[in-house]
Amino acid sequence: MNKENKKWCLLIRSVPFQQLDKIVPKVKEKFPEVQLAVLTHRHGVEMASKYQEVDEVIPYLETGSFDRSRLPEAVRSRSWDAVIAPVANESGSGFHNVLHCALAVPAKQHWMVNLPGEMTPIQSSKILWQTLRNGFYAFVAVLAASVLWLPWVVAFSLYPRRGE
Amino acid sequence: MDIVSVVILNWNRRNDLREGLIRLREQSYQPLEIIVVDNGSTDDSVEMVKRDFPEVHVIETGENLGVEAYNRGFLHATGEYIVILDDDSFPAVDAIGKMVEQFRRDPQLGVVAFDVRSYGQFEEWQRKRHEDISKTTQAKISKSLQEKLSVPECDMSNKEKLSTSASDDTEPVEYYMSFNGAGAGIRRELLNRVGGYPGEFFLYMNETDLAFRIWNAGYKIKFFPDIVAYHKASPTNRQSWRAPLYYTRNLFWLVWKHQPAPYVFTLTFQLLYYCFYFAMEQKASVYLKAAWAAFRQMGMILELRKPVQDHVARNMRVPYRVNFTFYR
Repeated sequence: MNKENKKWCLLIRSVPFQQLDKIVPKVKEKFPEVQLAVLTHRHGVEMASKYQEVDEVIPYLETGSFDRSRLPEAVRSRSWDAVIAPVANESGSGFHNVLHCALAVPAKQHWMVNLPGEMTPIQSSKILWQTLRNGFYAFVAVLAASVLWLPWVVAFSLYPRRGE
Repeated sequence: MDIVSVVILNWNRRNDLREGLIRLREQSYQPLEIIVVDNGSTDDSVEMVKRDFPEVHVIETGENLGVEAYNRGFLHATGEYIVILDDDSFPAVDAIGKMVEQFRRDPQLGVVAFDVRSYGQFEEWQRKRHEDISKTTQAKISKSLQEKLSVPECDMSNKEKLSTSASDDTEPVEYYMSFNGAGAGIRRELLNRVGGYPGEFFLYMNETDLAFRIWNAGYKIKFFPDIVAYHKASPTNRQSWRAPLYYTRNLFWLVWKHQPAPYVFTLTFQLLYYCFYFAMEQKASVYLKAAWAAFRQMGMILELRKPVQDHVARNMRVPYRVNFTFYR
């Protein structure tokens, strides 16, 4: 397999396989000439290998969520024609880390594909704005959660429980 | 041959149920005891089953009981193993036979988790099978079909696809997993021992609740990529407000029922944090409503609390955060 002479597209497996079943044919339709590689956690390697459209499966060796600083060398060291980050909803909410990962991969095009199957380019300026906004949300959420959590701890601890 | 019971929960999905029952008739494994629990359908599902599938046992609950209705089917089952299906899912033609083989091979295997794929994959498999039959002479059909039937829709000779840069480090991750209730097999004896689905959950996260009890009882849940079920449900259903409400409420309940200290404290904080964070990010108050619904009935849930052993709490893989990403 001569990776140098062919065009390659990287699909990040960030959604359930039932959704990926629908995304893979769409990607091949949009990029008919490219070879398709899938980046997936280790438990998904065998399932990703089952797609006839998939030419290469790259294991993501971490057990946690996709992290741009932990992308495998097999992804970082190559120059891709396109990188695609699927999200399991319409907006991409909750998939900020995946979109970050996609942007960290050297590629000519970076795309997000949402639940209905719409493909939109990932813009670094938008991701930067979301990072700032989400940081603020996270700060407020920590404060609000603390306010509710403390009385819950008291109520939970006082509740009579059998066998503990 | 061991009897395998198949329990299907139906609610107003006459046509999907019909297709599922037809596919079950095509199963290579027999004998099957098929039980349809109808959750108060207002279409003519029940009449259709009684008329067109007289071999099927029908249990009518008369109202929508949610996942509790599955338990009625489990109680009625007499097979050594039980296959759990949705009204819009069905196993591949060889799936039940392969499931029985796995159960016989490993006495500690409590649940066989099927690889649940979208219905489109089934249509693709059917198309390929049709093409093969058309191209092949009658003499060759038998062998070709058997080969296809043994590995539905997939090409398992794909080891060479694995990136060579990391192919030496692809051992399965050691963690405890749940299963997809649209396609799974379970030992009936185990189900009797640990109990069925949690009726109080009504919908969603019921498989994970059962998974905690199965691992805690010393049994395994294992996923088999070559044991396939097909599922028609679109993930867009999760965009209804009901899904995030039940998912989120039941996540709290799951933690309070099963997680020992100190996990119960840290996970409750984590869930509260997600509720506030995603409520702001998605401009969706449903997460806060769900948290309120969980807290309001905390007393009832704590009555059911039975913390699992530490190794189960540490290793059980529960996608807490993922459930907050389905909605918008």
